[in-house]
Amino acid sequence: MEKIIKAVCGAETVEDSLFYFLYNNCSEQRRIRASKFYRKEDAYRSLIAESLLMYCLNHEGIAGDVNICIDSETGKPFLENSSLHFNITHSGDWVGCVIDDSETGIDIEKIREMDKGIANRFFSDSEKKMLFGCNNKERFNDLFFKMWVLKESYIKAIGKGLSCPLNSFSVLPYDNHKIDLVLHKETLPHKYFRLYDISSTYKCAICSSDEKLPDSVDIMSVEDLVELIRNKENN
Amino acid sequence: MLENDTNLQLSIIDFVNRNFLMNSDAVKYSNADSFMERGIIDSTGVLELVNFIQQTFKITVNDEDLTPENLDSVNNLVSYIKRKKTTGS
Repeated sequence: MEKIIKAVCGAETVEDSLFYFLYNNCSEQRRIRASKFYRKEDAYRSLIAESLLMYCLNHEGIAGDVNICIDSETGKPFLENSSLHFNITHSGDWVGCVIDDSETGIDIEKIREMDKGIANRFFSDSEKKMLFGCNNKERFNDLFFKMWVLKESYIKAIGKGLSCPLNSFSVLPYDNHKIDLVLHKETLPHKYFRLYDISSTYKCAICSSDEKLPDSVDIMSVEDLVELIRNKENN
Repeated sequence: MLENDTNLQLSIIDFVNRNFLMNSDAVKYSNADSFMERGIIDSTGVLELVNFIQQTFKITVNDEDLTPENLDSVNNLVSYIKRKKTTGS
């Protein structure tokens, strides 16, 4: 199948009518999860994430009542009764989703000020060499978040989370397409990456099991997503 | 000074409030609340939290310690830091 990579922008400010539509559109499990967040923005992002995933699955011809399960060992979500793999991410104003027929991961993060001590603790020697070569704070933060979304997309794809030491592999981004992965542990699988410029203040990365990655992310607004779901329901 | 529970709690709460909640009074949470479930800390926040406790409490957080049981609430952090300070493990 063609990989599906979609992102929704405007996730922090959702009109009431759209919120209620999304709320009613989501599973009970997701509603309960969303109700636990302190900030309404987190609830918005959570509801948009499931709605976006379900829309994409529906678009692929998979029945809307497919169940999302959690692997009890790794905590990685997976689809019951489907061989498709998926991953979702949300940060600030963005929610992203990727669907593929093999292991895949996505991460979006808002760029912010980061302490060098964090890179020292978590990044590999070759990553630190590249990162500490940045001659100003802005470039440092920009490269830090490029590396971080790549690393996070990798650990999400392999379903390990932080139980996979972040310095057991290196991701070295030379540009959005040329990203070297160096594995420092034999047991880790090889993957492919791409960075996407979705915004000047956010970084977005996809990790894939094969080399074929689309050139761009399909971006839509919350209104667009709701409209697409409504149209699908009416057809 | 930082060895008793109250001082540890206050130090952690102050860091969390300043760095993840922008000192907002609107967000109230208990010492037992999960940072992740409540949307207080995200994955990047975990890195910042680990950096903070390493620097502030002079302990080394090993890779195998990066679990919700150790890091995902004020209470879990207090127990973890005390254990690391007393036994080193």
